[in-house]
Amino acid sequence: MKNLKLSGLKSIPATVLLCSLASLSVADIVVIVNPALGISSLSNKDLKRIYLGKVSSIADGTEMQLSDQKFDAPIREQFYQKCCSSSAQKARSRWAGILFSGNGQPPAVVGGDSDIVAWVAAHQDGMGYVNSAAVTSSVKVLATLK
Amino acid sequence: MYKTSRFQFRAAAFSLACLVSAGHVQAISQEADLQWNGFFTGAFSQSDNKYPYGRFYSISDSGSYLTDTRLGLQASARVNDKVTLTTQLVAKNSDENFHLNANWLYANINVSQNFAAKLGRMQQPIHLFSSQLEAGYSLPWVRPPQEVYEQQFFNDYTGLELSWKSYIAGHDVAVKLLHGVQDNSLSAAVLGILFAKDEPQPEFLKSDNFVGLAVQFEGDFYRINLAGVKQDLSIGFPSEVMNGFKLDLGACGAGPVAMQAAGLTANQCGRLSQTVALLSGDTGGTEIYGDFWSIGVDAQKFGVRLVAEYALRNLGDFYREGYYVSLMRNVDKWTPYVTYAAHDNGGEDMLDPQAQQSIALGARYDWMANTALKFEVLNADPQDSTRGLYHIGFTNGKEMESMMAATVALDIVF
Repeated sequence: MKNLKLSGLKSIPATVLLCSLASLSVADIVVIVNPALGISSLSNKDLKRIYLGKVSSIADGTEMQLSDQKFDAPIREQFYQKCCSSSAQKARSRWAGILFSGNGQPPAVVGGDSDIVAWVAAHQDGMGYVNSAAVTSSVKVLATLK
Repeated sequence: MYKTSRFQFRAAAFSLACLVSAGHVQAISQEADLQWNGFFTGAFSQSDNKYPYGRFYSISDSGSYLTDTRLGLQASARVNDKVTLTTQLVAKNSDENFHLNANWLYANINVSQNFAAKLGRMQQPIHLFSSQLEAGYSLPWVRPPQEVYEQQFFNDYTGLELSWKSYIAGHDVAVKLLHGVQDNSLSAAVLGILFAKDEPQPEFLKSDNFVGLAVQFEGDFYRINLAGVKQDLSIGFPSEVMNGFKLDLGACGAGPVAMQAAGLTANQCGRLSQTVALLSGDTGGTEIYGDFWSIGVDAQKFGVRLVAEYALRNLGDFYREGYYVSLMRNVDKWTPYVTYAAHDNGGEDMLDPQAQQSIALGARYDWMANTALKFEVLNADPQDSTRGLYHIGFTNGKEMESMMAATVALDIVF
């Protein structure tokens, strides 16, 4: 906070640092899986295919169980925009078609960040998305959406 | 009709047995996962014409809450990593009453990451939305354009679906091979015409060796569906229909007084005479070769969604074809749409010509989580002095006028 009182060029690095920290904790959404899962990264394309129900398994053949945030959580809209170039409502409508045509199960609505972290930690094939600040050692980060 | 009711009851009962079994599976295995989902559509429709419009909906000027209203419950039990049991029970209007039908009732076996097999009762994936028709929330419209979706007599079949899917050069590709039987009854306008009745008459349709192939390509912004079905049909009708026909024929032959007493016009008697010549003593139904082809595109780019489909049905010497083009744009919670559709048919000695064009203007409003409101105004215009898609029988030479219908619907999924 002391740096904020400095004027001129000296104040720029501190401001940039603070802005970066702020944007990391507020805007970054991370995709998390159970640490037991045998992959360490996931491309944006594969993430989109999974969360739009085009595919239900990842590269190593594991059938994933997907989790979702509460309907009114702001992160839900942000996630579907960033991940899938879709609104959360459109994604929900698409999943309804997949569900009732017998082609898959939509992500389970688990709750908020801490609920999803706990759910993923408890499901060996679980996947979810949370604000980066909510990540604990009980889950593994597979991708970061900025 | 009785045959269908018995089948529906048996199918629904079998579904319930499956659910109970699934519950038992869950009880004996902690890993088993039983999931319940459902959908509901509540709607009101009214047109400006007294004649009912649409084989599946029968919209008229009396207005009705029954036309599109339905409730579906789906249960899915994960037996193990490879096997899932699913059933979907749908209650919807039929003859001003709600009938329960098992739309889906199957076991899915994931043979490998790319191959799967389904065994049981299923919906044919022949159109872009035919597998999810009843779940209104998943559709962009109040109901899909009937010029295409009326082409198939019924959507369900009992048998086997083998599917293969892969990701090739940035595209998801799915191929489905279908084989099975279809056995159902429906209310057929053409029988109303044949037997000179004001209303469509019931008929039995059966296909013992239904074979189909459906291929779907999906990329970042589009989905294409291609399907072909071979569907030879045996057609029959209840004895009471034939008995009524014989009685009416007798009245026509007995002179004007008997005709008047039976409430028959000269036009109707003329029609009955033609039917006698057509049937040539065959009163038990007939076998007809049939096939069906369709292509559909669903694309979305720059905020605009385009959905278009074409379908062609051949049945004996006759054909029916229909297409539609629908444009929609999402603005916040609103998705207004406009749809143009056309239908035609033809063939030698066409008994029941159906040519029409229609335009629908509507909107979807995503009201709350899992809840959408829909509004639609439809103008359907029969062409070439035909009945178009009005669901009526013998018209006594009357030409059908264009129709305007309005529908408000509430779609929910849970």
